[in-house]
Amino acid sequence: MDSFLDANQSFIQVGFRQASTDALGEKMKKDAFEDLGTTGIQDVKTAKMYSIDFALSNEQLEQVTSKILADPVNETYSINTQLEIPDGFDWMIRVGFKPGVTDNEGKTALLAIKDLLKIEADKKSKVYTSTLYMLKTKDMKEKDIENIASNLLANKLIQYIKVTDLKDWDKKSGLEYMPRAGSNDPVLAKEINLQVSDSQLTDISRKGTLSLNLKEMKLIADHFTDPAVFEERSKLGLGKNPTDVELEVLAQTWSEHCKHKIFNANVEYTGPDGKTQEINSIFNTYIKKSTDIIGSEKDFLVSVFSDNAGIVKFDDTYNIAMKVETHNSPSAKDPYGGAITGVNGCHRDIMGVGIGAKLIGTTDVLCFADPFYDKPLPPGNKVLHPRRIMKGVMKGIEDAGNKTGVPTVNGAMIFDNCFLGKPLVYCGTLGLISKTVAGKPSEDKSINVGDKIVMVGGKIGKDGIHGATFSSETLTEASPSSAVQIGDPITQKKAYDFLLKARDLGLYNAITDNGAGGLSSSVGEIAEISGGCIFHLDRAPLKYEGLQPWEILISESQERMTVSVPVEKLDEFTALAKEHEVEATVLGEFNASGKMHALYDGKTVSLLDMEFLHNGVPKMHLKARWQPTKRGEPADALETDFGTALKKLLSALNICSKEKFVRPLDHEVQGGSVGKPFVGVENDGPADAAVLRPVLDSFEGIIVSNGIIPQYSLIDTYHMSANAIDEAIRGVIAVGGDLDEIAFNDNFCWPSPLEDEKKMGDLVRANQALFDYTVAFGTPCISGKDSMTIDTVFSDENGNLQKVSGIPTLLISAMAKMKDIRLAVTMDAKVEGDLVYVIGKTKNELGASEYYKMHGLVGDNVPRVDAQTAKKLYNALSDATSKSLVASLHDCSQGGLAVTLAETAFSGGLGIESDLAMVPAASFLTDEQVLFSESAGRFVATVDPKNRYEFEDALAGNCFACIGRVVETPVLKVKGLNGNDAICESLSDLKRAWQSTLGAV
Amino acid sequence: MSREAKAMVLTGEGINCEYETAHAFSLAGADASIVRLSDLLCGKTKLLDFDIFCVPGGFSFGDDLGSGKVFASRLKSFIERDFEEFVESGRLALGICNGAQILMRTGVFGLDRKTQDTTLTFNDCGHFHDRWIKLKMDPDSKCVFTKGIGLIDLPIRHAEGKFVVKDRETLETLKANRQIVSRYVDENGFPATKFPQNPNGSAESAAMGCNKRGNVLWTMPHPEGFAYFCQHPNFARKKELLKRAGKEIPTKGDGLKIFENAVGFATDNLA
Repeated sequence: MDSFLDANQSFIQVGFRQASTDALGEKMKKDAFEDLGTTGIQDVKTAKMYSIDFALSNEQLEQVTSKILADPVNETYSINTQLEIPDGFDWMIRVGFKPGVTDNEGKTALLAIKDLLKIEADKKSKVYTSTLYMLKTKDMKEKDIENIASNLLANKLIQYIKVTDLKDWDKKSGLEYMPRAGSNDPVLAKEINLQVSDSQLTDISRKGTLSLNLKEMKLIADHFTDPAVFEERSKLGLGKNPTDVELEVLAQTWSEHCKHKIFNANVEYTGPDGKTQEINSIFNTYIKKSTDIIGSEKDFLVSVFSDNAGIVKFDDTYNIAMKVETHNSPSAKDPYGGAITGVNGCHRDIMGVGIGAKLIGTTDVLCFADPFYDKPLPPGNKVLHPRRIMKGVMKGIEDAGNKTGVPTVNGAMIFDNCFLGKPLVYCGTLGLISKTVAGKPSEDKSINVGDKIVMVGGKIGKDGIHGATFSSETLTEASPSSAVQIGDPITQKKAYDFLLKARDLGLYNAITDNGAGGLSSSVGEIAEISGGCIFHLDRAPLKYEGLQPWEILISESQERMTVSVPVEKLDEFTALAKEHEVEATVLGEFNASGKMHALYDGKTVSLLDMEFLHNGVPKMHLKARWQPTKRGEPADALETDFGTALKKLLSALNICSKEKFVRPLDHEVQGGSVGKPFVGVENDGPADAAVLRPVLDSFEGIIVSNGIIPQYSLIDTYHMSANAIDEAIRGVIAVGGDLDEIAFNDNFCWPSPLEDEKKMGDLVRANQALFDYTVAFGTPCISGKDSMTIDTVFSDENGNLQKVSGIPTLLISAMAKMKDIRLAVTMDAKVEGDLVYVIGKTKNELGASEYYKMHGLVGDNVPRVDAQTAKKLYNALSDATSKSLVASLHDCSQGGLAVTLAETAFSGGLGIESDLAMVPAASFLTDEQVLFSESAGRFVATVDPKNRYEFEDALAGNCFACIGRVVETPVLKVKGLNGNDAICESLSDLKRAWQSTLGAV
Repeated sequence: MSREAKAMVLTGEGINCEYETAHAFSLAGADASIVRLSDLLCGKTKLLDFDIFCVPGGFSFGDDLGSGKVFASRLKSFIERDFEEFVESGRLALGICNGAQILMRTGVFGLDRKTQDTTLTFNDCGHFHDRWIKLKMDPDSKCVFTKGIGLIDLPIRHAEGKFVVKDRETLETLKANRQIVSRYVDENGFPATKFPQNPNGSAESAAMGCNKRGNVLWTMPHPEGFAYFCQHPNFARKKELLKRAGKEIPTKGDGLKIFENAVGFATDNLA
């Protein structure tokens, strides 16, 4: 039947009036030109279509449209007909969602319709939205339009595209989109026969995206044939094999993503000295041990490594929690959805830490391939262009943060073509929590036998199924698209508002998030507190019908938290949820049975021993080896014109301004923003760290900074790790922080070291450095995460398998309490006549520097961190900033001293005259080395001449020198070692170089 | 002696600036309460018990269907009469950012005080922006909130802030009534027409507007975003310069004045 005539469906289109600007159309035209080089589009008009899948009268439709959907001033609409297509328009693209994909706007439209018409819609009533792009083009063929549709407007994995030539246009054909989801397959749990050959076991794991290796599969098979296990199971009608539900739960719980098997493995490591040592768990040996050592002398650690996030003391009333997650694989498949669920997922970690914390800030660090990449992408269209990934990820971060009202306080963007297959999307979140909530320590979770298992927030769909196991796998062309999903920040925001209130009323005992592994992980993990659980999968609210029990249990549908509610508080809890229009469903209860017992329609579909589930995973044994690679250093100078070289460096992707991509992120909501991402006279200089004030009644604050330098892994992951730590610390010091207040999150993203001794050796060395430097600096890690498969496999033209792997990358995210944020320092030169200091020693350390990279070199002399020297210096600098002796302070990192001086100058709109001969440096360095070396532990400061002696006294005993002055003339002048001008460049040229690469804003 | 002015700061459904907005009202001397939309709609909290009604910034309903539309529709269908009475009685209403979008869609700024004849739509640049801009207040406006403020720096944080008026005639009337309270200006203080000084392409460079009587204000810039001096992006720079000039470093930010004006007016006239 023609859907057009179906009385139970209607279609509403809303577009802009002819005379009104169509900003969305204009943006699309601009993006098509910038991203795809399309020049043939002359005009674009956009419209939104609402497909209403239930009966409404004409009057009702008119009412809904005129009162809510269409703005009376600048919008126009049509009901059950196509909107007027302007003259000369020749193509139309429609983009909607595939069945089952989250359609937030459709959900809101349904709610608004119900609201306005005061009608009750049943479970099957839906509204679907799609976007229409009407195009006026010149010389564009269908394939060009298809290209725009699939490479700019939509991701075919989750979205529906229809391209129509308006020449042969049938008005009715536009009104048909109704992506109903759900299936009519029988819903039941199946037994999976594991009494099969090894190769069949491997097959079962691979085909089911279980990511279980043969050893694990065999262990599982053996467990279920164990007579004692079978006897118990048989009483509930189960056999000698696991059900699909049980096998899926085991796969999720035992995944690398959840169990960190590599960090807990037994490792046989052969170092550069040829000696072999046994490491029983990298995590315990290096990371945890360091925190144990430091923790014995720090009084601010509240909860480390034991919960969703680490918790430290803030003041007498509050604690602060921090967590950094990654969402790499989903962001490779669908950058927008991957990033939004990454950020909102990390928010849930904080919502579920202890008894639940308030979200106060997000910090996101992103690694992409070159957005201007112009070589062919791997064949098969499975790898998206880096520019598309970058834009999609940024849009996801924007919606996730802005819409939930959590400021994105800072971050970083790193570019390297090793991230062509998988980008790295690090999402960090900070939370604030009262020390005691409802009379109990807020870091504690407790569960009493009999407490109800209540799921709060979103509904369950097929989205995100196999997220945990999928992320633990190499990305291939066959990776499941259901692992991708779009988030719904507003549903999460509403659940969050409700839960904070329920928390303060003491209505629940424990809380955790539904992330990787879904209910299987959330219920499974907190059930360890009471010692077991029983729950009913058929009671879980579903987005659509037809989900199998195992799908309900492991679905990673977003926006859900699991809480344990005492029976006597249940009524109050559910009433409050109703008031907040938040879904809260009792699924079962916690007990001490020692089992994870799940039922569907009253029939047992899973009866797993908690002990086997959580501690049954076999330990891995891995080999690791590391030897340095010698590449040599260049014998002669690489450049003679350092001014031009500096401009080239400033425009390098890893150094240039990211302002265009940061401005769309709200960094100020909640009113606590003090140190912004961009500072200086025109608010466009690069800040070293964020400073925020989470409690507006107090001037105490938090500094957030990041250290990440994957490039150094090309030479030695030990120094990569050390420099990441030093960079994170320098960020804190540069804005006026204190070394003693720092706590870290460590986050490792590694190419799979499973069958690669070198990559495992890289991992050992990075952790050795992490131990050495965190202990030396006294900066404990309080939480961490790893993502051990940043590899992508695809088949080339000849059908051979090729692998693209990211380089080993450690992100160190630092937070530090600042006693008085009014003492915060920024990096811009402020007053003419101020003295310019270089602090810290410059050495011949250009190995893997941006300067070498610019010349296609790697070299050997990677910067080495001298922790003892640096520690003394950092303490002295904190002393100076706390006495307000410093007008500006800027961390010296990628690009070296030349870049730091340039940034200090142009951000302040003031010139600098300086002399390289005065720079504290190792002997026999050349101009080039002093200008571009990336030696750690260095800063550039500007100081009021009146404070000269006091400043120098504060730094006495450290390596520093005054190298020049801030001047009014807007020029950066650097005198070379031979007395000639090494650099003499106008600030406007330098700034233009710095801003033009990614587009001035 | 008059009592403290009572300010209601609305929240719920994706509003997310309630905390700092209520804080700004408190700093300005009001008795500020954060009230959930559902409590207001079901009558648990009564609008007419308050002197000041504020809808703060955020993303109500995720900006789905167009910013503010669904929230405004709810307000209208549940408390239209109360809101009318509230405004008619001369009490103060303030819509900030998403709150501005919401209040505008209730029609309160319409020339007949009911019909929406102006709107806030997508920025010309096509996306969300967080940046500080310069504004100049109209000294002849009747607006209660902006009295005594000339030039001011404030942050804007929105994707849909472009002010559009139904037709030329309406715009002329609004101008004649001095209802365009504040304009985006360039470095010389002239109305800005270009991005980013005019960050969204607003007609008349309008950044804030009021009803004819001047007791209801919409503002796209966030005054609560500059309640403290340290929130200014150039805080460290200004601080250094003030220090060297031997001047005191202020604690309050210029944006607080808008809240102080409201609370002062409410205390004098209403409470």
